[in-house]
Amino acid sequence: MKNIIKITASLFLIFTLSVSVVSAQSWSVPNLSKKKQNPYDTSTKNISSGKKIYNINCKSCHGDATMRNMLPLQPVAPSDLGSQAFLMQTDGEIYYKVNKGNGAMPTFKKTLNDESKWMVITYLRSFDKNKKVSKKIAEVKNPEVSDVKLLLDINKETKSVSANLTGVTKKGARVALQGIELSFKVKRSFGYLDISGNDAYTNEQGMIEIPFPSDLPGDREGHVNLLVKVTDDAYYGEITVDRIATLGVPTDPENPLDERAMWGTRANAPIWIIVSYVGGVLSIWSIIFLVLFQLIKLPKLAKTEE
Amino acid sequence: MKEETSNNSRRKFLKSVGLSVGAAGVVSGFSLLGAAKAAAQEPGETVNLLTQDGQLVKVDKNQLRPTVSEPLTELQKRGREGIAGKSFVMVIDLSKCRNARKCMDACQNHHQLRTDQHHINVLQMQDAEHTAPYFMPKPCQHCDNPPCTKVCPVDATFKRQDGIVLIDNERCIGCRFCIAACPYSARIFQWTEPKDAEKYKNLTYNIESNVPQKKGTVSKCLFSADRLREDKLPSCVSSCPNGVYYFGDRNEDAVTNGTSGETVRFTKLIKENAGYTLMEELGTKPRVYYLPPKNRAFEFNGDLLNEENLH
Amino acid sequence: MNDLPEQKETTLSFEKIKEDILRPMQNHKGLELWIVFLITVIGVCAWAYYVQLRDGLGVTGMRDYVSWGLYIANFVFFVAVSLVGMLISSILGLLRINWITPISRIAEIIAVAFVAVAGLVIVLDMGRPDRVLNVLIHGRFQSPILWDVTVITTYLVISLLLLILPMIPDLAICKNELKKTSPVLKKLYNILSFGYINTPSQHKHLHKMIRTLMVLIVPVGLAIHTVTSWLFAATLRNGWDTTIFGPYFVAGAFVAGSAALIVAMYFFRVSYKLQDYITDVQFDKMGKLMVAVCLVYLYFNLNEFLVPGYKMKTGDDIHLKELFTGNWAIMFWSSQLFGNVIPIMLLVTKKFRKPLPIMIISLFIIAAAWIKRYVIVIPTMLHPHLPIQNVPENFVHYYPSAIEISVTVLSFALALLIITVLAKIFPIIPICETADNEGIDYKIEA
Repeated sequence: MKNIIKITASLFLIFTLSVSVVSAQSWSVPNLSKKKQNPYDTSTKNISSGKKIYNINCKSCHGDATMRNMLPLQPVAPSDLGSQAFLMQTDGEIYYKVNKGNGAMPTFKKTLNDESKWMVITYLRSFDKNKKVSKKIAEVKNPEVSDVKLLLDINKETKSVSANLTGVTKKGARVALQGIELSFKVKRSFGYLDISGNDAYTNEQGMIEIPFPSDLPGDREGHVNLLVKVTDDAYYGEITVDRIATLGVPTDPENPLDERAMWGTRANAPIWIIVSYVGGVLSIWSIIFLVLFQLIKLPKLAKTEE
Repeated sequence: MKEETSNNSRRKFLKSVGLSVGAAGVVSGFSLLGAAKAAAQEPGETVNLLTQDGQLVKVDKNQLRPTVSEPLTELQKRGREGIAGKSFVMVIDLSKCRNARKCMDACQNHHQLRTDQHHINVLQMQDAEHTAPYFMPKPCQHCDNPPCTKVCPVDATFKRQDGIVLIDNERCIGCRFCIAACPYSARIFQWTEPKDAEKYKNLTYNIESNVPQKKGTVSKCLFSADRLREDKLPSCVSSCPNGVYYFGDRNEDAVTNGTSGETVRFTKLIKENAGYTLMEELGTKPRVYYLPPKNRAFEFNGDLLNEENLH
Repeated sequence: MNDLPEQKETTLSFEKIKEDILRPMQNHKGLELWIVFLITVIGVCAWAYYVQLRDGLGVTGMRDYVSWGLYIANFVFFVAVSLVGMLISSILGLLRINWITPISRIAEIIAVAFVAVAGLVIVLDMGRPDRVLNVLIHGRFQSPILWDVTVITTYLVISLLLLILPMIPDLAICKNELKKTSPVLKKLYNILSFGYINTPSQHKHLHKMIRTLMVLIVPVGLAIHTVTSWLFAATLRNGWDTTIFGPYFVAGAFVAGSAALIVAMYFFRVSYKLQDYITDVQFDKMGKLMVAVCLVYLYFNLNEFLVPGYKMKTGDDIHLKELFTGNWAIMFWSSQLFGNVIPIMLLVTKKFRKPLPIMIISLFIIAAAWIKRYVIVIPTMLHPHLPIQNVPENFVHYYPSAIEISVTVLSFALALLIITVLAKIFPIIPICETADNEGIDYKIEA
């Protein structure tokens, strides 16, 4: 048993060493680039938008920051971008690498614009314990709680959605949970439309209010399927509430088949074309049949003459 | 050069991941009885089945639940009616397309097509002599004023209430008038026996995927209408590795990206990116919108439009 | 009129007319051999169609881009030729123009044969001919194909009636004269003569019916070719998307049909020895008529090509350049020159309106007219709005396959067979009408 641990440990060491050698060789960043500064400030808003961009573009390989749930790729596994080892680099270094790509890491030079890239860096920097300027999103220390409750309230007058996040402390008191990011989503056919905006963190009362987009269509009655969740499952597990809210714009779906049209089926043919066709056929063929009928009379005419 | 090879390895990696995910999909998307029950029975006849993912699999008959087959008329009926209240649209972001052709592969796999038959075709375009070339995936535009359904003599091709233009190959007489009428060259004809005709022979015809294909009839892109019924994105949309496609319901004002799964407002996407429709001067009112190839994610690497490729 | 050679027509008697016209129907070795030959050709080519049925339309040269090819071009040609029935026996007949009397039946036979085969060619082109009845069961009022099927059927029926009705007096004669013919034909003559004995009331009654049909066929005849042109003009394709296609096709049809009639006239005149009936006058007049319809056609061609050629709109430009100077230039210019310009120049001179020269010119016109239909159909399909890409090489070009050519030959052989058989069992020149024209009195026995 000990042996196995030793072997794995040494293998791990060799592996990490070789990785660092590889990365040192192939991913050196020019000095000028290292000095590049992040032009955006570390506001919660920027961190939040950075997180969204991260989740769409980076998470599939790098996993959640600080969670060490990256894809186990060979030979070089992606790093945990929330780890302190990674965050030792300067903003300029990270920016350079995001632009360049390396190995399985693609270039984001053109897939992301500069602002998005800096937002991601701002978000990652929020995990940096050494940076004095950095502000962690959940700065406020919430007490350890159980039985976390997410309550949803819909205000039809102001067309807004508010949520309240609370938990029960060890002492048995229900307290508000502060500074937690919530996601407000509206169900659509093939996914959820995020309407949270950039600043969806609970306040001291554990409250948050989000305006519902005034022009978002609902069903015939304006119903929409609303879903609110604690964005980061890491805090309290998966906590979601969904509700049917009458906040959408009532939309009566237009049925293109209600109209008679040239492109429609036979049943939907324009009246004038049915009338023209049937009228034309009937008039021509009635004359033909009239002639045929007259033709039958021809032999009789011979007899009457005689 | 180095970048090139590393890109390749990444693509290969993605491919293998995609394959295993696909295989998992087959098993989960398939109605199988418990393994114990199957083991208890003698292995009987096998049948060919088409899964929702468009994969054809051979299965023991004993393992099937009887709910799988639906009578032809019922499929035809609901296929012709369409999904009530929906109005499907597609948005294609030309700045993201790098001619990976995963959409074409997925489509051909789903709809029993050979590699030279295209419901969706990625074209190399150049609008004028000195303008920049770009890749343009071109599915059926599912026009709201469709020139093809206008000319069909037998109601074999028609538009349904959700906006999708379908073809009924149980009805089609093979006159090919619709092919002549379509300005987007979106329709194909089964000139010979379709691919794997033997394999698909005993399947009930599903008008929403136009499978099995039939010799002597027309076929076309259907926005994977069979998948939409289960709130799944069309095959091409969900197979794109580059985030080119958005697909959704115009009535909901939302489209979902097939690669990232991100859902965005349709009007906003079109407005912010100056979306347009193809050959709008023809008055066909397409349901497929294009976002111009601006700030491209990839360099155009097509064979720079030799004359013969253009015309 | 006076400068035309006076022929011995004045000496014609009713007996001579009867004999001259009924003779080839009873005994004509060459005709029988010709029928055997045509049946052989049809038999061989029917095998080609069987192959197409068995293996699908993939045996043709057509593919996804050129999805209409030789068959459709040929269909348009057949419809065009069939229009001669309406032009000669109806329009000129209603104008009471006398010189058409001996050739009106030939025109009507051509019309029947070509329109019947045109309908068949459409079926030959279908991917699923077994579902042809779907057009009746599920027919959409909005589809030009339904209109086309309707007008072709109607035109065939009226043309058949216009063939049979004026023939009733002649068939009454056949019934009496052709004693040695087969019992089937005897029965046919008996039924189709409708007990006609040329009483004044029967004569009046019959001609009233004929005139009704002559009026009726004018709109139907115009419709058949206009609707055929709409098969193309109803699309958004470069080269087809034009508003003058209807009259343009009708004008072209008059040219092709007249040429076909002249050729048929010549062969019947020589083979049936009908120089006394189909005289130089008829050829001369047909020559003049040909110049007239060619001029109209030229005018339409000018409009069809000069106007878009002047603008060179996107899409049109590729198409027109291909026609004018590109891969299609030889076919395009030869169809214009041999089918239009040169015939006009030649036929204004009297000596080219003699039977043999005008027959040869007409052969050229027919060939040019056929090529013209080919040039209308295929180049447009080769130049769609969007580029043709990611398909095998044979999708980008179009060459008709041997099977396709054989099936096309089949359609020609079938049309010729119908003409020959009709000319074998029916008098090719109206006996009674000719006598009427000559002012000869005749009686038809019961």
